[in-house]
Amino acid sequence: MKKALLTLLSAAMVMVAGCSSQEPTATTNPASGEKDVVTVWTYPVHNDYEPELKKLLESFQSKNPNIEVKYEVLSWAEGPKKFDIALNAGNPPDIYFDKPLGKYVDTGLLVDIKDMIGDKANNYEPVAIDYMKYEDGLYGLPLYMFLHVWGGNKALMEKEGIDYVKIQKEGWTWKEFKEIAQKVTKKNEKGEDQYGLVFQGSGNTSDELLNHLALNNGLPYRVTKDGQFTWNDDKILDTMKYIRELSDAGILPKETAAIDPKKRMELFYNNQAVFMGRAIPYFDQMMKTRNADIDAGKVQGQKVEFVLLPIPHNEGEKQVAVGGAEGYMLFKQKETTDAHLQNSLKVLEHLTGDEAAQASITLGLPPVQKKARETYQPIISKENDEAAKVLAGYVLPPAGISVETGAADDQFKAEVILPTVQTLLNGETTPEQALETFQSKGKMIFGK
Amino acid sequence: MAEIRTADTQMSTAALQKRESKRTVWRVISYVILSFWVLVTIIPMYWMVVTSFRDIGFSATFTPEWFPSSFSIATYIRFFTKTDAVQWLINSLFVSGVITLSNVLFASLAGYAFAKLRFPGRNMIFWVLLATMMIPAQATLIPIYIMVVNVFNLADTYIAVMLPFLVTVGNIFLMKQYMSTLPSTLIDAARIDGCSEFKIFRKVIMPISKPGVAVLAIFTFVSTWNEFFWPFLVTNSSGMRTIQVGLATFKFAETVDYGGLMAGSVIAALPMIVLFFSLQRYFLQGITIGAVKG
Repeated sequence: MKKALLTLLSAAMVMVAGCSSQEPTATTNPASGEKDVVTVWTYPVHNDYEPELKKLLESFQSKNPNIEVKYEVLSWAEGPKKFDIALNAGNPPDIYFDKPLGKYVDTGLLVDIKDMIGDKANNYEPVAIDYMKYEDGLYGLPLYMFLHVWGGNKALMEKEGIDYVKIQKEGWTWKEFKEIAQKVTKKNEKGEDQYGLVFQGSGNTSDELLNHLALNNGLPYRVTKDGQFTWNDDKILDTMKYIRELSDAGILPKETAAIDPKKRMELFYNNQAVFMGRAIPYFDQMMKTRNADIDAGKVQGQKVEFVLLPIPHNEGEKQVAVGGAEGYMLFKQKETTDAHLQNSLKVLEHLTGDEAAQASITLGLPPVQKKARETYQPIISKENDEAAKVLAGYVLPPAGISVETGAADDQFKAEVILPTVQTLLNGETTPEQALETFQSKGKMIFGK
Repeated sequence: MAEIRTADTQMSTAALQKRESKRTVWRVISYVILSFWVLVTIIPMYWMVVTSFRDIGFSATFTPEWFPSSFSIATYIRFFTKTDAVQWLINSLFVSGVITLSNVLFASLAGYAFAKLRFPGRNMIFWVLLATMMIPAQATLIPIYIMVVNVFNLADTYIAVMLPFLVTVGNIFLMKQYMSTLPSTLIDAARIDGCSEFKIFRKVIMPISKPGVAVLAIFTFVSTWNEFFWPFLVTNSSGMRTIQVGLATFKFAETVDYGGLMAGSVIAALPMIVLFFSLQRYFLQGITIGAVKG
């Protein structure tokens, strides 16, 4: 027994010793003649993104045999935490998928690529490039532009006599939305709860409903270009009161604070949600695939058709859609060499170049790469494609805030908005108490 | 006199009957509460097993099916063929095994030293060690990450996954408490017979510490097997993931492959279920072991 134990221990030590001699991943010196290893951390931007990424990297490595790309597809739920720890430890991956945030720029590890890429930025839609900028710096290249709005269940809307084409074209006010949503909030034929609106409200997504409605209540930017914090007056109070009204009326499920994107989708698939948010044009394609799988017997469930809808706006206020760009950013570590940075940039350019346009197409939006845009054929339904084009016109340009203000805004979101909105959604905090929190913490963080 | 005694006997019989019926009522109440608790505990596991045999693809219906309308092992086939599941299981087994062995060795050695040896600063060192348990794990995460990944350059290796857990203060405390209850006369006798300290530890202490060691080993194995965040943080390639980290890859932004996820969860839970039922006795001992006065 003792011998067996000792043998096992020795074997373990040998195995561990053998495994510890792997090559470092990020700081290999290309000058030494070894392959330069570039690390990429990304996300499943759509369900088939990984095979797409593999193809992209194969084509890159066939042209650049001296560069090895190691990629990791992180989960949306845990990935940001892993990246934040790596970044705070001073050891981020060379390339990371997200949008540039003030807190990233603030670390000094996010690389300004404006002077490194020359005129290559001209290959992208200017508005998408604007979203990758902070002050004068360009901190990445876009993979796609996103459009975050609301959606509806086509069959249920038709059954209830809702003129969704009119809503798509003309928009709707908070009052109109509430009236319609109240009407459709009831028990469905199966005796289950049918909600007027199902919105993701858990974890990192809990601020989205408030953000959507605040934008549509005359608060286009949480912090203005001159650093003025705006979520501290009656407008944000009215927005929070409206959310409570929806919840108290049963239009929003009582457990919204615990509903994650997957749960929201399940309720929608189960015909328990007439309207849902946040919705993206990609849902059209996703549901078409699911319906085909149901027909083929691969998936159990009811077929659902999706309709893209605008976010309701308060009377007298402008309609706004949430949008922007996301893409790949270049990071450096403590001992990064110029040669390694140049190699990483090559990878970044390839991951967002013309060959990468398929990501936008799959997501149901015109590519951000100008060349690919010329030959773009939408794969989503005509009515949703047209609605997406109209709604894209309501997306605001970036706020153009400073790095310092951006970092403060990131802090305010993480430390104040997310926990406060969670308690607002589950009824532990009143809108008035939430406003007080915003005002006091806002003063502390933004200083005004 | 005899009449009084009969009356006493009748009274005590009545009191006994009353007490017995009270006990029966309480027993019934506790069985009802316990049965309810068993249901609460078992239902998620039942749902997990049932769902793992339903091939519902990437789009689950919201309402769970308590009595499955179909039976399929496609989810298990998908779990093993479309992922590196076998490698994840081997990794979990290896990592949990080494961490358990290492904790048994080092925590027993330290526990013995703190419980039975006299040396300057013994209590102070022990209290300092205990004080480190008060620091929240979140506060030490980045410094440990910096040491393991930046300083030792161990990212994506087995050592990175195991290093911070090779011995834990909790386990040292557990062994110290257990070994304090062992009779010191045995150690004194061994010393008189000329045993070295290490021999005393090996030949005298370890054989009589088997129940304590078993508890430590079981709890360490289970907690390491279930650990998610640290292995997720320091591994990058699929081949280095543990089963818990691998299972997370079944989640997408908007959908979950519930069938595949549940099949993986059943596979991941199986070793723990087997371990629990075969070593139930030690699990129960583990609940009280730390409560023994040292």
